[in-house]
Amino acid sequence: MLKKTDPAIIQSYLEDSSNFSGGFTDGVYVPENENEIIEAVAECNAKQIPLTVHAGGTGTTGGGIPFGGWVLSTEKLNKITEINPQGKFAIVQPGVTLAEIEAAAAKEGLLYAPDPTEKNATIGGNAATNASGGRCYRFGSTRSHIRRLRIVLPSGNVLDLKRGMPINFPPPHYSMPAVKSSAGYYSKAGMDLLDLFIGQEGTLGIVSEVEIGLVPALQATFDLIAFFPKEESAVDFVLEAKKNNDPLVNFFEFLDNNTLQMLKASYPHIPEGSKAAVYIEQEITAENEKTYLDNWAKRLEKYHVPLDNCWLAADNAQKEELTSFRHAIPEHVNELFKKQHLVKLASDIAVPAQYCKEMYNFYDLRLTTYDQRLFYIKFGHIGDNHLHVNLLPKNEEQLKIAQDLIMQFIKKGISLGGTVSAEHGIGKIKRPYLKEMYGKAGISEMRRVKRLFDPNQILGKGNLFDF
Amino acid sequence: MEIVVCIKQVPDTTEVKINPETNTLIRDGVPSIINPFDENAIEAALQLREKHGGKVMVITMGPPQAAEALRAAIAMGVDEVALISDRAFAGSDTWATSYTLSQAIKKLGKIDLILCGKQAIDGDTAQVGPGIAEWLGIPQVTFAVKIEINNNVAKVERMLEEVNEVVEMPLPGVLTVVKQINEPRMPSLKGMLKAKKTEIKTLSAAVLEADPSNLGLNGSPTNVMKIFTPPPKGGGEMLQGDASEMVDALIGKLKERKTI
Repeated sequence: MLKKTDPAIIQSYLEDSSNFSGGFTDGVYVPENENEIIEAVAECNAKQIPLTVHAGGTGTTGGGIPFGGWVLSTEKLNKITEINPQGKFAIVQPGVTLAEIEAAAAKEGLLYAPDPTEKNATIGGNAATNASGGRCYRFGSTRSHIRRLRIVLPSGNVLDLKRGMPINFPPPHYSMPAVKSSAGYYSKAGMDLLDLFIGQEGTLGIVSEVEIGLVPALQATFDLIAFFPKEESAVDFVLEAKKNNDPLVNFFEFLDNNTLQMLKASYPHIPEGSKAAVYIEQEITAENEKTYLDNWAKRLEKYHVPLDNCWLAADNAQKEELTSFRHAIPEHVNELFKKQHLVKLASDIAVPAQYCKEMYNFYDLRLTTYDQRLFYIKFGHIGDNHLHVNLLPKNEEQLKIAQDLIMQFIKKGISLGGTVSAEHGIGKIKRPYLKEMYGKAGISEMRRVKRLFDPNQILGKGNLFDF
Repeated sequence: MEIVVCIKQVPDTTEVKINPETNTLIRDGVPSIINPFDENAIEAALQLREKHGGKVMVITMGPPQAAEALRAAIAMGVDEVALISDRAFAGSDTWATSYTLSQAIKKLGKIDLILCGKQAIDGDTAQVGPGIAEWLGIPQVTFAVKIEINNNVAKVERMLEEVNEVVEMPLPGVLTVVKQINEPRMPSLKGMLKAKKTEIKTLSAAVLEADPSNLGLNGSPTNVMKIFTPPPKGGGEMLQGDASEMVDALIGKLKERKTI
């Protein structure tokens, strides 16, 4: 097995998309198959050396950044073993990227539905955080699409966990929020053991193989971005539209006023006077397209949206343009941050549907009444009651305000029965929020489960909680 | 300002396949779009309308299914469209096409400006825009990257290979545009609703009162002898070994080919 120890080379394993600094490592294992994973794990377990899994490096919470010990990189575990069009599933190694999976599935007329925005992310990393994306509104998060995982435990034993195999010990004793969540270990009475290993963030075992379910490729869609004259009415519009429970709406995404102002330099066609936008993907057929267009037009007019202020992408090039418009948000934020700001603080809170508006109002009130100079944007998966708030403080004073704001959001989200992390995971930078959510008792329940699988506590040091 | 934009429906791919028997494009199974440069021409027309008022009309010559390209233009916000379609037009080269389009433009009344994309991505001739100007006997400026209109004169910046050139052209006239001129807007929901219910007007050879000897295959002086895809370049060869081994190998190969 390839092992890297050249300090210049292993430097790149100390970073991900979180800008979390201070990571260090003695070396990097680069296994190419399950046996080599076992070899690496056994070596670390025998010597009680911490081992951190580093996948696509696209994580936003520092989960793949090592703090001591060795790294296990999944970069060469990058083979698609099987795409099965009849059974509609794929078997892949954990280092395969979403872009690769989506391309391979598309060739067979199939789709890997969860659709996280970052396509360089790996399926192993997605499983580790129970990642989600826009289309999870219709199709559910990563968890709903994993059929089987092979897991190398610190003992060197391998588990082959299929959906339907029940857990054979008491799951962590706490109740999960009734929303999509990537915060801590999964727990539910009668749960599958598989579910414990989705969202474990590399702290219980190492994924060596993933079997994912695929769905038939989407029929035709149209993509609509509606620009609202008032920010709040964009939220109300989505909440009302969701009441139709249309199974053919793939997602509702929200962009607030600041997001639009930020994008305006690159997208001059954003209509004047727009204060918010909602992005909808609607699956259609030739028969129902006209009805859908009419219905959306009626709903939008009710919220005083001028219909010539609604972009409608019908062909592939236009849809790609809208997709890159949506993807431009994180890119622009990161650029802004690199240019002039101290640090990026990002929230990832989802709340139950009935509290979506209350949470939005809370964000809006707090953000507009605090320091006006603190730059922020609110955007994301409003269909899942899940907005990201990004704060970009410029100095120490603003940083304190931003930290305080995020903590207020966290507490509000928890009080409404929400999750502190809906899709990014906890990693190293959101641990205080996890503790806030589950309390000391909840954390010690996670610790109990951790010790069952990793008694020497070598895996994922620093992720989720203090071992 | 009355503006006409001439567009072409093209296959949505850069890998155009050709039927070796007939030397024509294979369109089956390939989705069609508005020629991308023509979308820039539509955008330029819409911006001129926003500034100077007036009307944007879009025409295309093609088979009945080219109506879809016109609907896409309506969705972008143009005022009127017309499909120039007749079996008599089949097989037109750039001579016959520009003649037919110019006959159609004559039927549209008083026109101030005619806009085209600089060329179509399938045929790549860049001849139809200039051809229309010749048939109509009006001036033309190609490769426009910036257009300003004052007192019936268009001040046009042309994008040439090395430099940009600014020229003035009295209206009416023909301009062809490059893609750098603007970023075409997205279709709007309002436009799409209008597109769905608009009945597309068709202009036939009879309506155009065209001279049959300039129409279709018979009216086309160009004779396409052969169209083919050039074979792709073979991959290079990677030499192995350390620097001196590779140098020796390279010299050996050059001698073998009598290059040195």
